[in-house]
Amino acid sequence: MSPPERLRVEKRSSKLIGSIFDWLDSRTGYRNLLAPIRRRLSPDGPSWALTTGSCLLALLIVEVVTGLLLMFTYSPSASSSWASVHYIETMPGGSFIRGLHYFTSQALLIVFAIHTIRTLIVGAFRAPRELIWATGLLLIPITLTWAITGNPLPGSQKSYAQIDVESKIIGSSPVVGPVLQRILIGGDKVGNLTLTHLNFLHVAILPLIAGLVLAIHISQIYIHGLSQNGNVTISARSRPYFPYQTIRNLTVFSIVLAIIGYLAWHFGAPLEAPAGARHGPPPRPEWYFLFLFELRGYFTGEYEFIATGVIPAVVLILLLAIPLIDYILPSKASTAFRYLLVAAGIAAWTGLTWVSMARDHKNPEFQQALKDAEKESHRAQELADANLIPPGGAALLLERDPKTKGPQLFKQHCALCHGHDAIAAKKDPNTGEEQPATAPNLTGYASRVWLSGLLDPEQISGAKYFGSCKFGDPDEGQMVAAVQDIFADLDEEELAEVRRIRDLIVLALSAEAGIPSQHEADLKDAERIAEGVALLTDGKLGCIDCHKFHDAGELGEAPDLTGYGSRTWLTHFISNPADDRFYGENNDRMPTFVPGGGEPAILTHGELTVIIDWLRGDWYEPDSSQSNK
Amino acid sequence: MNRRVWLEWISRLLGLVCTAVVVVPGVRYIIAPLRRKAADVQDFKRLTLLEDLVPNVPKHVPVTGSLQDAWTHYEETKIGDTWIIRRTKADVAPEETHVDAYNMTCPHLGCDVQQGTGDTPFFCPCHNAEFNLDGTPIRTHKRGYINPAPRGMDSLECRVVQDEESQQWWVEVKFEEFVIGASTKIPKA
Repeated sequence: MSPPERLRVEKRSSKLIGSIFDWLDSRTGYRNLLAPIRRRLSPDGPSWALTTGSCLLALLIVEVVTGLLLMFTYSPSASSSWASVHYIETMPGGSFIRGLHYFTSQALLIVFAIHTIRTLIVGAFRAPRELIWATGLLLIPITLTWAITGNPLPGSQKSYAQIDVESKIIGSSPVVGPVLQRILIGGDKVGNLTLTHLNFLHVAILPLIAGLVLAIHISQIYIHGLSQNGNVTISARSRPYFPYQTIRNLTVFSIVLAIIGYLAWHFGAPLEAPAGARHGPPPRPEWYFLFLFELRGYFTGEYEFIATGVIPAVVLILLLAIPLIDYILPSKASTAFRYLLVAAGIAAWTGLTWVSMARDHKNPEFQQALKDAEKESHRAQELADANLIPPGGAALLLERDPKTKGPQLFKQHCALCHGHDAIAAKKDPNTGEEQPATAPNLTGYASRVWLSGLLDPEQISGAKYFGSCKFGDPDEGQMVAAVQDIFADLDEEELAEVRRIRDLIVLALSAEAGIPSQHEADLKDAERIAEGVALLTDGKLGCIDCHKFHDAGELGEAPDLTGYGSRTWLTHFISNPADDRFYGENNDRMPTFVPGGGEPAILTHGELTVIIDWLRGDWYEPDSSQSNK
Repeated sequence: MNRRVWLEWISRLLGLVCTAVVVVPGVRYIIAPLRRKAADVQDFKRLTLLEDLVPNVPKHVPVTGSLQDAWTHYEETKIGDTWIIRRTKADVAPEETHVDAYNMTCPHLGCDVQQGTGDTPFFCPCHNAEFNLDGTPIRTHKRGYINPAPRGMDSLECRVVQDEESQQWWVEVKFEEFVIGASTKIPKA
C-alpha cells in the first residue's frame, strides 16, 4: 500500500534535469544513499522540542566553516599568533567571522546543555537508543576540550595564563598527569610548541574524533528513528520530516544565529593584550568553567584533582549509566531521579558560578587589574593598527611602548629618588607613610614650564627641584645660589628685564630638547628662541661661566647644556651622570645606568630609550603628527 | 500552493539566509588579497656614490626600505635590486652626469637579470632573455633563439645629488616594481 498523500515526498522535476540525475543515480546509486534523509518521517509528528539536536548540528557546521576561514589567515607561533588574529580583525568580514566563531562556541555549549537535559528528562536514552546517549555524552568532554584548545590560540595574556593553569591542572592528575602536561605544552613552559600542539588538536584531531563520534550518533538516530516509544510506526500524527520538522528547526536556528550574528557584529570577539612578560589579572577560566574553578577552591593541595578530575568523571559515568539505572528502577522512581539530577546539576552549576563571579566582582584589586588589562588591550590594538608590530612579534609592542612601559620602568629604576606626578610616591614599608623624593620631580622634564620652575629663585631650592637632593645645600651645589643671585637686589625695572631674559633663555634651552608636543610652538617662536640662544651664548645671565653651550663656555664645572633634554643628551646623561660632560665628581647619588666597557648595565639600551621617550612624551598616538622614530 | 509547499519554500529561504550569513562575509574575506593595495610608493633613496661608478660598467646595488608583510613591519629590509650604469665619461662634471638605473627583475617571469659578456651585456639565467646595455631586449636574429622578454629592463627614476654636509655626490633612485610579463611598463602600485 503506498503511503497517504500527506506523507509522500517524491517530487516531479523537468525531463532534462530528471534524466541527468537518472544518469548520475545509475552510476553512483546516490538516491538509495540519500533515501533515509529524503523519505524521513516524523512518526509522532513535528515537534518544537526536537529542534535542539538539529540546532546543535547547524551550530557545529557554522563553527567548522568559520574555523576553516580563520585557518586561512591564522599563524600558530608565539611571535605571530596575536599579530595574525589582529590582522584577521582588520580584514573585510574578518571581525564578523571571528565573532561568529567566538559566540557560536558558547552557544554550542549552552544548547548542548539544553539538549542533554531534554533527552535525559524525556527518556530518549532508552533501548534501543543507548548508543545515541553514550556517543552524545562522549561529545561533552570532546566539545569542552575543543573550547579549551581554541581559546589560547590568539596568544593573548589572558589565554596564555589560562592554558598555563589548565596544563598544570592536567599535570596534577596522579601518575599520567605530568607526562601529559609535558607533551601538551611541548616542554617546561608555555611557548611556540604549545600553540602548535593546541592548533593541531583544535583544527585536526578533535574535528576527526568529533566527526567520528557524531557520525555514529546520527546514523544511530536514523536507524532507530525519533520516537517516544522506540518503534517507528506510522500513525495519524506522522508527517514528512521535510518541511514540517525542518521549518521548526530552521526557525529556532535562525533565532539563535540572529543573536550570535548581532553579538558578533556589535561586540566582536575580544582580543586582550598580547602575552608578554607583564603580569595580567589573576587568571580565570572562561565563564562556563567558573564552577570548576570555584569547586577547586574547596580542595587543598594534592587533593585538588578530586575537584578537577574525579568529580567530573564521576558525573559523566553516572550519566552514562542512566539507561541501566532507568532499567532497574521503577518508572516513577526513575523519572524522579532524573528530575532530581537535572535540578541538582543546574543548582550546583549556577550556585558555584554565581559565588565565583560575586567574589571577583567584590574584589577591588581584581576589578582594577581587569581595567588595567582593558587599557593594555586597547593600547596594543592601537599600536597594531598603525602597523607597528616588529618581526619579533606583538609581545614587543607593549614592551617597547613608552606610554605603557615607561611608567613601569621609571617606577622600578628612577622613582626610588625622583618624583613624578604620574607615579605614586614610594611609601615606607613599615609605617605606610609617603616618603619625600630625594631627587628633582621630572614631570614635564625639559619643557618650558619645568625649566621656568628650575630657573625661578623661589622654586629652585624647593622640594621639586634641587631642594630634594644634595645640590640644595649651598656647600655642595652652586646652582641654587647662582640663580638666586641673578634675581637678588633688583629694582622693579631691572627685575622685569632679568625675567624677560630668563624667559627667552628658557625658550632656547627647551628648544634644545626638541620635545614632540612642543614642536609647533618651537617653530612659531623661532625668533624668540634665536634671541634666547644669543643671550645665553653672550653670557647675559652668567650661565656660561659654568655651563658649556655649543661653542660657548667650557666643560668641567656644570653639565653641558648642548642639546639639553634631547634624546641623545638624555641617553648619555642617564648612562653616566658622573661623566665629565655632566656632573663629574660632583654627582650626588645617581647611578651609572650603562657603564660600558664590559661592565654590567642596570638598564638595557631598549629600556633606557623607553624611559627617555616616556619622560619626553615621545610616543605614538593615533591621529597625531607626532613621530616617535 | 498548499500549506506544505509554502512551508517547503520558507524552509529553503530560511536555510539560504542562514547560509548567506556565513558565506557572504566568508567570500569577502577570502578575496581580500585581491583588493589590497600593493606596496607603498617609495621615496628617492641614496644607493651609491657617484665616484664608485665606472662609466658604462653596470653596478649591482641592492635596495633597502621598510616593508609591511601582512602583520609584520620590517623597518629596514631588502626590498629589491638594481643595476646602476653611469653613461657620461668620468671627466664630465657631476651636475652634468647622466646615470641610469634599472630594476634587476626580469620582465619575463621575474628572475634576477645578470651581467653577461661580450655581445650580451645583460642576460637572465632562467629563460635566456638578453638585454643591451641600455636595457632594451636584444632582438637581432640568432639561430634557434627567441628572446622571451616581453619588454626591456624596467628603468627607474634616477638623479645625481650633492650631500649638503659632506659635499659628496650621490646617485638617488626611486625604487619601483612593475607588472611581470606585460609588454609595456605598468607600475604595480
